[in-house]
Amino acid sequence: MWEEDIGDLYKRYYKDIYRYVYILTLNPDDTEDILQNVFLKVIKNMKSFRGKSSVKTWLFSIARNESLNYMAKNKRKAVAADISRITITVSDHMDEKLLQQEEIRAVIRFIQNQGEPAKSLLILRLLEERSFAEISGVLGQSDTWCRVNFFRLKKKMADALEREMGWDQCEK
Amino acid sequence: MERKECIIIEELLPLYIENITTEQAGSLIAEHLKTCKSCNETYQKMKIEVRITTGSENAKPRKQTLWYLNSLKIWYLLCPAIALVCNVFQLSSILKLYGLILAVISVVCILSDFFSCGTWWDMENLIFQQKAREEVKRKRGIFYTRPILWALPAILVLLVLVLPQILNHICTYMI
Repeated sequence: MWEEDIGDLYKRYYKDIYRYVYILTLNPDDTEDILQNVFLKVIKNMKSFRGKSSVKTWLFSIARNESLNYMAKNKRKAVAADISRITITVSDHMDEKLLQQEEIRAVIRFIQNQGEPAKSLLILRLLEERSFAEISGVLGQSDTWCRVNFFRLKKKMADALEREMGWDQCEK
Repeated sequence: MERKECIIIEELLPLYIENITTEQAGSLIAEHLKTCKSCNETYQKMKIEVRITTGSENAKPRKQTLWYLNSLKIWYLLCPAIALVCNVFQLSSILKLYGLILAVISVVCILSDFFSCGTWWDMENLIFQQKAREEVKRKRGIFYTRPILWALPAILVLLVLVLPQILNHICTYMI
């Protein structure tokens, strides 16, 4: 089943994985390093990939492991210093609004303050509306765990923003 | 009474939002949300849709960084190579001129290092270098960004060129 070669994978998924790792690390240079490691690992492990999950899920779980290892090994801590590349929109069915710098920072800070599976869960879901089934494959948690915790985290996030920013407009 | 119910409702809210409760449970929850303010607030918060996007224009390695590092590498090779070529072909006048140029380059670079800027006479180039240096700094550490790095091969070649003369002087003094 591995007729698909690495170049195709690279072209197809580079951006998606880049975004995920970028939000995890918040550092473009680290992100590039990690991405390199990820695709090296993919090349090495291509044979052992059995197709238990989709290719994409497999790639993301490698990306996740690599990021965590990298951060631990280099004693990195994601700091929301440069957030100029990140935009966040929030909508509650009636209107959509683009967050201001400070609010973006607060959201990112909230995400970074979560412990590991929760952090990745938030990022994976908020970045591209991945299905919970897919995310549960990446994180190795059950579908229900992802679903329930995602909504809980979202509530917590709204609470935190309310506290920090005096956010009311969002909950009408 | 109300509290206990709220705890259970809150537990079920994710399923309710995803529309995977049974009809009966759904209507029960909807009813509760109408009457209970705090649960309704929780519901609204859970329902907020948040989308994060990141610009991907920088998803590739930057040209500037590559340019800086590559030209540094070329300079390191080229600088001694020219001296070697001149030496082999016995072009002593060109070699002298080259030594002069290298001396100027290294003085400029060392001075630039003190004032921490590269080519101060060319504003555009300066900004360009500044940007490239910042990238390199993040990736390779501060040493690579110093202009003195550009002077190193020049100084080395100069030393080799001047060393015989220095030795000559010392010998004549000794005698």
